[in-house]
Amino acid sequence: MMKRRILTVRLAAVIACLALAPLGAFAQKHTVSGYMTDSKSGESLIGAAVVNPASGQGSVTNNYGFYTFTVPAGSITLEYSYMGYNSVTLNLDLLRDTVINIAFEPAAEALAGATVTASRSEIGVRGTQMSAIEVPVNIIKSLPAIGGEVDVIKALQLLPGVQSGTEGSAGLYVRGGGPDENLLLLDGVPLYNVNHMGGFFSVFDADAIKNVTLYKGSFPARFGSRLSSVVDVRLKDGNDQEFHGGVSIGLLAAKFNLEGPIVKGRTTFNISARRTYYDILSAPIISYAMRQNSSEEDRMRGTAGYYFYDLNAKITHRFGNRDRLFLSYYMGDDNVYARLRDNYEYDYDLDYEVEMGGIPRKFTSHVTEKGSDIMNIGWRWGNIVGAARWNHVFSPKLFMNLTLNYTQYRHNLSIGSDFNETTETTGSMPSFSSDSTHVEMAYKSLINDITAGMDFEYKPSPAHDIRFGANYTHHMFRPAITSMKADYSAMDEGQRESQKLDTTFGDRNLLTDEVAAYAEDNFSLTSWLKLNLGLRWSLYRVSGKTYNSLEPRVGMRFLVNNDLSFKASYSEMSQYIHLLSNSNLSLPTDLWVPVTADIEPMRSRQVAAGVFYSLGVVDFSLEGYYKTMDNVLEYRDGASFLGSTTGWESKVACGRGWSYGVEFLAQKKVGATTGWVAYTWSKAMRQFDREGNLINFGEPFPAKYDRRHDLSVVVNHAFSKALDISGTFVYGTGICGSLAMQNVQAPQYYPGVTTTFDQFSSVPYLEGRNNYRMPAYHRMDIAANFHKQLRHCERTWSISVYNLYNRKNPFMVYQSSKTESTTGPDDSVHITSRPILSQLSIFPIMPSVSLSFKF
Amino acid sequence: MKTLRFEIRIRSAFAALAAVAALFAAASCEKEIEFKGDETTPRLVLYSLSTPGQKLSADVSSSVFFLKPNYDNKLFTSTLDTLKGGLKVYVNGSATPYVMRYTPLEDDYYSSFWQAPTLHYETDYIPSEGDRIRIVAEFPGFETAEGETTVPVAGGFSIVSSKKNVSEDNRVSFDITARVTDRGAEPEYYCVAPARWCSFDGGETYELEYTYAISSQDPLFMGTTSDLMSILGEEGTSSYFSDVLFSGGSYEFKFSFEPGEETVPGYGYYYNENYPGEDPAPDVRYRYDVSLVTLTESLYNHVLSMRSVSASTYGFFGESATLFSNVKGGYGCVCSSVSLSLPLDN
Repeated sequence: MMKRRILTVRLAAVIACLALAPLGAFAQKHTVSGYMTDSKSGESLIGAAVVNPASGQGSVTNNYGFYTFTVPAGSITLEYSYMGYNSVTLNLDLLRDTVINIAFEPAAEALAGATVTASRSEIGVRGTQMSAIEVPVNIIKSLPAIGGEVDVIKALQLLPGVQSGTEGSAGLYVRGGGPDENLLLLDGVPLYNVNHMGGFFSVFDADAIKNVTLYKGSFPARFGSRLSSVVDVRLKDGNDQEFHGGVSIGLLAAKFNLEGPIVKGRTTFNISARRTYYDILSAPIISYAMRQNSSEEDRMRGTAGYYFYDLNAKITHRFGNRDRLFLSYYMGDDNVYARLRDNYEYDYDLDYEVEMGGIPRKFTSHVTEKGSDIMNIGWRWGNIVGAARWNHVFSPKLFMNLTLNYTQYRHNLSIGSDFNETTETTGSMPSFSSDSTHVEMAYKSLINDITAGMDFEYKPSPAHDIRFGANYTHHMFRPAITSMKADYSAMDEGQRESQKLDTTFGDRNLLTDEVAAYAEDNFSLTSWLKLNLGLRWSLYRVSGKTYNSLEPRVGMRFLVNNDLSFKASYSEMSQYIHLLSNSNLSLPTDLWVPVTADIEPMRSRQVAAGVFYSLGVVDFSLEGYYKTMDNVLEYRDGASFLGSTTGWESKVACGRGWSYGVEFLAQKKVGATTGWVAYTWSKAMRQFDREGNLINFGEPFPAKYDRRHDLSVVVNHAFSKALDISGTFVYGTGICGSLAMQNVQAPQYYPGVTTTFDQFSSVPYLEGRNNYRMPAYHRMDIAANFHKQLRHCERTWSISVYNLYNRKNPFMVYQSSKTESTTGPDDSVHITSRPILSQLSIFPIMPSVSLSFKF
Repeated sequence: MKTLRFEIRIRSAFAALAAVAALFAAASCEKEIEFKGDETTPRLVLYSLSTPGQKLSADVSSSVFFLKPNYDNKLFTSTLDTLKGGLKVYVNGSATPYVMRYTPLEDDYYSSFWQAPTLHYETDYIPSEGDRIRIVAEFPGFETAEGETTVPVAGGFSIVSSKKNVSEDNRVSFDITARVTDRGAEPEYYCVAPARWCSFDGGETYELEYTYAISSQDPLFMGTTSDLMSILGEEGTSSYFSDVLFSGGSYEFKFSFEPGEETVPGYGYYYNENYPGEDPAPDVRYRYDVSLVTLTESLYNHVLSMRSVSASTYGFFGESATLFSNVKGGYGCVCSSVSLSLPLDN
């Protein structure tokens, strides 16, 4: 026992010496630091590289375009590069720490649309980071899309290890995780609801985005709070030299963006907005339908519709080489509305006969009914995000990012109704009555988060890249509040009656606090062995209960040669909030709720290993992973959360899950032809066998989005500056669903009445959860972009076809019946009905066209 | 307040929203697809509810593959041979079973129009509180199915206070404080079931008119009805609760229920099937009572699962649900309950 302890201590000492050895060699070195930008736009470049060819060591820019590189003093050559731009080589006689800002010129040979991407060394062959992919924004923008509306999340679904949800939805299911297990960051600020239109589109406007990175595992310690993935979306800063912009009109939405300098070279802005106009196009049709259903006595008017919009704005100010300030804002809403008005006036005569004293007497009255019925419905949900960031360079080796941000997710349903009616009777028995009802109902849910955080990057030597920081978030959950106002008054034959109601009820506010601190070091032990060691600690306090979590993160890279490496990683993650949702779509009634005293945080552990190979312009990766998840939630049989968190804990069961798989990616990032082939073989299971938490009789069952095979092929080819064509093909094993395959006769029970079972009816019997696999999903999309340089701007026509060969992919599978009629020999018609298995598909072949101008 | 009108209008509002949602579904299409898989093996489906003081009965049928016509009741019983198969009942571990008689239901809807969907079996044995009952069903071609239940001991029940409220328009509601006492050794489930009984001719013969949902803010019933669903018209609280808050002891709780309008003799108009067209209303008399039903966990689970299956079958938002079964070798539920009723002051 003692021997083992001594061995452990010695081993630790050796590792520490190896790790700290490069730190001691400062005396003969100086540090070069600065920003790397695009020379034309001034846009900072993320992942641009600087290399010392003599030593082979290098560094890359961070999310703000800042780099720092410590090199030997004296005469030295530095090579700066960023794919798609001309490289820059500097010969320096380095006598002191020096600031060198690099402005790259775009490569002249780059064809329009011939997308190139950054080779961020931490993600490529040479870095320790695995299970992460950068998706070039240019590729995202060139991909075919539903209604021509390109979407970041849809592009991420084409990557290995990422499963899409149901047909058309923007849900992400990463390595067997659920849709609520993804941390979606917009400029570092988490978003709760990233979906528009039930999940068919996401809130990310591709025109405003500079960079998208997806982490599926091997999470750096700076990320936490979700189990399965991190989607880090960075917005453009804006051009610091001249004004640029664009407008785009598609079948579903119109967009514009504008960027430019407020103070040339120092302060920039970037603003973009998008709005759908489905409601505007459909309004005349709805009005026409209303008028068709109206009569002279009953005039119905109204409108109804749906739209969503996004607004992104960002201001960046450079105080000098040491300080930069970023202010970013996002607002987006989905809005469903209906306004109905029904004015009516009925005149009619009423003749009746009454026997009075044995003598029948006739009466005649004239009745006039007048009234109006007005109904207003508004249903709105969306996010507001505001962030302020301050970058400060303390020294060439120490960079700080200070963040203060606010995020709000709100959902508001309001219904208003005004009803007024008078009835006047003249003639034999005159009378007058009136009736008036005014109702207002509102249903609201809200989440407010305020976060303050500090992140430091310290690079003492080329061998070490140390990051540390801490953040604090105050969450305010207001899960479901309902308010009602009603005012009723009536008068009948001089008698007045009135009543009022004014009440508010619902779940109480929940205030929770989340604190996290982390440290990580990405360091080279030898020229072939590089490690990333990190530790994240988080604390969550809710309703007097405090949860702690210590999450180790380890990444290793074994470099065989400049083109081949092996990597392995281990990471633990914790998650303190859950999404309550009952449907396959993302609906505004879905509610985020924090963990409680009874429902513990979800935790995951993931190991992954892979081989990475670079063959010139094509990068290959093959990764395998095994992931376990604890305290995952699944809805109990028949549970429904429609708009309520009341007693939600009793409606879920707590269990565990595991998933494993192999992912292959071949990606070509430069040249006229770009794209990738991604294939995933995976399995994702759930088991709920704890006492009181049984689902599926405690037996394991496949997760809903368990797909055995998932293939994506993405190709983009630029024929010339005037034309580029892209295409995608996806194939996925069908997702799982629960299908009752037997019918049984089951009795009803009425308490206080039933003493023996006697009322039976046919009821479907479900043998197990997710026991049926839907038909396979496959689809091909194509798009062609025609560019033309006009006098003042570039015009692009984009024509795309979604689901080219009109595959009827399953959205839902369910039991139904089919009625058939047959004609007998005697011309008699026999109508029969038989049960069938039906499939609902929602997106047939969908061509679309859009026109955009860039100036 | 015209609550009915209000609810209708709220529902209309949601119907309008549904219409908007339907616009998005306009492009969707439905088609029949082939079922790829094996046809499931039919199993026996056995249901029995034991109630003290009532002859024990059970119903048996066969499960049917879902793509066979489920409206044809014959399918559920046609494969069961009543001559070679049958049901036996073992009470309190006895070696000698009671043999249940196949007792076709007569003179009812099924015999005149359709075949009964289940085979009905009866025995002369009358269960008592605490009896342990095991029912075994054996039919050629099927795996033997059996289920077991222990008849619960009735919970103690008393009315602490009861207040009847009558509004100007003669609507009746009750506010009640009651006490329940857990007497069983096993975890028990209970249900509060208020009922109205009517004597339509003013005589002494009362017929059960209706049972009512209750409303209660007591923690006993918490978490059973959402706020939004109650606005949408879901009435009352689930009347079921468990003994988790008072296992082995007593618990006092408040609840209310609203039977609605009472007919006043000589005032207004009244219609019922016994006295069609009476005008003015006859001398209808009312009695109210509240029953405390003590249920086995299996019966409670059956009720919940029937509700869940209904929600998942007919509602878009419900999670899929499996019908509860405690029958080995087959499907179904062998369960029991006992009821205690207390009259309310009129």
